[in-house]
Amino acid sequence: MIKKKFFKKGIVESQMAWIFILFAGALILIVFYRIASNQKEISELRIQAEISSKIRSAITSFSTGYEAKSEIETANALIKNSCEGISVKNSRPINLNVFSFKQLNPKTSKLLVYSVPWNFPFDIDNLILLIEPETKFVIVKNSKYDNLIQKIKENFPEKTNFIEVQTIEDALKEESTGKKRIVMFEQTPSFQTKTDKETSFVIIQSISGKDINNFGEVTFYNTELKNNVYSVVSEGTSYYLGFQMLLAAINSDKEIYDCNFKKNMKKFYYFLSILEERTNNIYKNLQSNSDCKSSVGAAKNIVSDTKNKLNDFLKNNVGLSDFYDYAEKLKIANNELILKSCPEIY
Amino acid sequence: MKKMFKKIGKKADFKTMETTLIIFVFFVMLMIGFISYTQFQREGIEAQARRNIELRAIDVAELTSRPEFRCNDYSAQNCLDLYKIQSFSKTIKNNDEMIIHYSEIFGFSNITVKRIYPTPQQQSSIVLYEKKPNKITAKRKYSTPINIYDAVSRQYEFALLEIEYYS
Repeated sequence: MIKKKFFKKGIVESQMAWIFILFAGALILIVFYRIASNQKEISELRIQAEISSKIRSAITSFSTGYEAKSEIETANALIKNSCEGISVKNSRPINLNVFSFKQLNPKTSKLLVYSVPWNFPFDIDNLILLIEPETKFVIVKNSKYDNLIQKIKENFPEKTNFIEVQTIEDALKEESTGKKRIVMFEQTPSFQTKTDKETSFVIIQSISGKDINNFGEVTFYNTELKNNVYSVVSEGTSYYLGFQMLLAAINSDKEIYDCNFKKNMKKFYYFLSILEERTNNIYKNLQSNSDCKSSVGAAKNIVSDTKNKLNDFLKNNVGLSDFYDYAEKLKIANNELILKSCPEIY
Repeated sequence: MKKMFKKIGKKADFKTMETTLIIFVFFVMLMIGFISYTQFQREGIEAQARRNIELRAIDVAELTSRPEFRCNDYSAQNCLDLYKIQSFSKTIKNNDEMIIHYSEIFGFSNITVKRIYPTPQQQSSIVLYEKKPNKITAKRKYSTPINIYDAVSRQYEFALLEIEYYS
């Protein structure tokens, strides 16, 4: 009887000890798991900070360089571009003039960074294009725009994957390891067109009487999953002003493009405000008998009119075509001042 | 004899429990220590990343090549257009949106052009931009000689470009 009781008590105590050991063991495992996961998190955070700072320094140094090209190692980090700026995973966005697709492919280990000076009709700022090397740009040929197509291809960095095809069907057949951007001129993709989620389209259209190299419409199309099939959907039309903006549109989603376009137009407005003040000061400081006085006076009015036209566009989102005409007048006025050896507008 | 075994058994159990408890407490302390350590590390990295962004201010080369300030003659190195800088200084003062826009480029800094030779009769210093943080913890100052071009008199002046960074 005593033996049995002693034996039972021993079993209970031994079981308790094992439960306690299991509990302690589980806790030890949790400790090691936490250590490993925290270390992983920290190393990810460190990589994020490093890539962020690398992107930032590359992009800022490109903000003033002339057609600078470079490659950034991204270590497969999740890079997003939004209206607030470019960010690595959850890091604070860096607000720079970057044109790219919204979500960059996480499989990409490199990004091509390319700066194009936006000149319309004077240098305003550099547009930064962030291109994934895997992205395939498929241009549907249009004999009317051969020169423009050639110019587009020449102005993208050498490593950009460009291909020309004859028809939209050929373009759809093209395989790509990353995104596929189909570029078309004055054609509209059929809304019935079946495609895949990595394919998007931009349609470039001229505006009557304007030079398509510098001013036109760009319509963005994306794909949407409907009844298990990806179909083409229109995202809307935007404008481009200056050839460099057209390059930016080819390498952007509509949301990113529109946001940066607006920011750049504001920058343009600030620049015109500076030039308006500058031309006024030059006019005031020129001797009344100077041959340049009347020419600078005329230029002063053109600068003010151009600025007012841009202000109308920024406020009401209309009249960009008028603004384009005024910007052309500004260019002519500046050339005249150069010919007369007078102080230029810009 | 039974009592003695029982006593020894109890003592052994107690020892096991004590050892396990020590291990348990040790690992709890290790975990607390490690969590605090990683927390400090994370905060340090985040603070550094934040500082990298906030400390970002324009450098001399970048400033003198910005189209808002540079001379129209592309071949002129380190040259600022006098009328452009004067106009910029005046325009930005009256435009809050413009201040916000340029603060993203210039950060917390003070950018001043000091005209040295020939000494002007008026406006010997032109403050291009100034934005200070609420609390200045550190500041660095750089100055570099530059040319400024007067488009009316067609003369170059010698000046100093001073950039003071705040953090």
